[in-house]
Amino acid sequence: MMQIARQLVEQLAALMVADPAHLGDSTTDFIQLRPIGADFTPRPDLIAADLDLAVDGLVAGSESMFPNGIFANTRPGDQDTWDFWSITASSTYNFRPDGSVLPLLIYGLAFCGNSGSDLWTVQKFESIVTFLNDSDILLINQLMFTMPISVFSNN
Amino acid sequence: MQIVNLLGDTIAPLLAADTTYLANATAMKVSLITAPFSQGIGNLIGDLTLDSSAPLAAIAAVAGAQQTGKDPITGKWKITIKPPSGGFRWNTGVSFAAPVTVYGFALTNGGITTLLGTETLATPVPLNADNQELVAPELSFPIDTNKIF
Repeated sequence: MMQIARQLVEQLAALMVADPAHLGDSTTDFIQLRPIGADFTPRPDLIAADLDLAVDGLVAGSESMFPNGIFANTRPGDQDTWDFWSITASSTYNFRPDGSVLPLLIYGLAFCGNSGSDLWTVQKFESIVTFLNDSDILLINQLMFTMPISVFSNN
Repeated sequence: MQIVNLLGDTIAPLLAADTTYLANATAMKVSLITAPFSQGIGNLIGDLTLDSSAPLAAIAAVAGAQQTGKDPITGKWKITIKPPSGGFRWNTGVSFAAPVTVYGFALTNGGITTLLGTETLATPVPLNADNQELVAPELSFPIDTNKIF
């Protein structure tokens, strides 16, 4: 197997964020970050239908939140690790209960395309997030997944 | 975040069909590397000694989108560079007068100005007589999307 050159990895990162069928779709609600309302095990073959992505008891507008574009950047001092990231237009992803379902449990987050129909990435929280009051809020500073250089390694 | 297949499976085809590099209308070229080198992602074309003269000059791959597929055992994607008819095959021919030792192969754009990848030979191969032949192994990039998190 060949060793990939950095030029090609840079090109791949640029292609991914510009891909109009996936990360580069600019339709307002095409890409979404959704809370997951039931336990799950992260694995590569998960699909949206495997997860509870329609959580009851959240404030309208926080059942799903929309990234303000997806970006890819390297880290200071590590030009071989690419972080794919985004914040919302209002700076922070915030999920809040409306008080109708308490306690309300959130097990993780799903990054979706096609307005929630296509699952792209998942994150399982180390500890279940439990909303006990309608004043609770779950703040996520940014959506992020990482492409380390080991993706292109034989090992 | 754990990437799932629906997104992960887009990556190799995206790169293999990219007309800036791997699928450029001008076919990429594979050159022999004829001086020792330390293989790494940071290699640049200027770091390598490439043989550019006949009969060991660079050989063009097939232009257009390259081949992609998943290893049925590991599940890893790979992009395989399409070899030309006859393969990436060098032969010293007759009256060969420029002995070299080959340490590996360099994949570049068609103009041999941008390095895209390198392949090393476990044992350097001396080419120092007539009618000696060297054939490159399959040239492919592994892409393990399960390592995206």
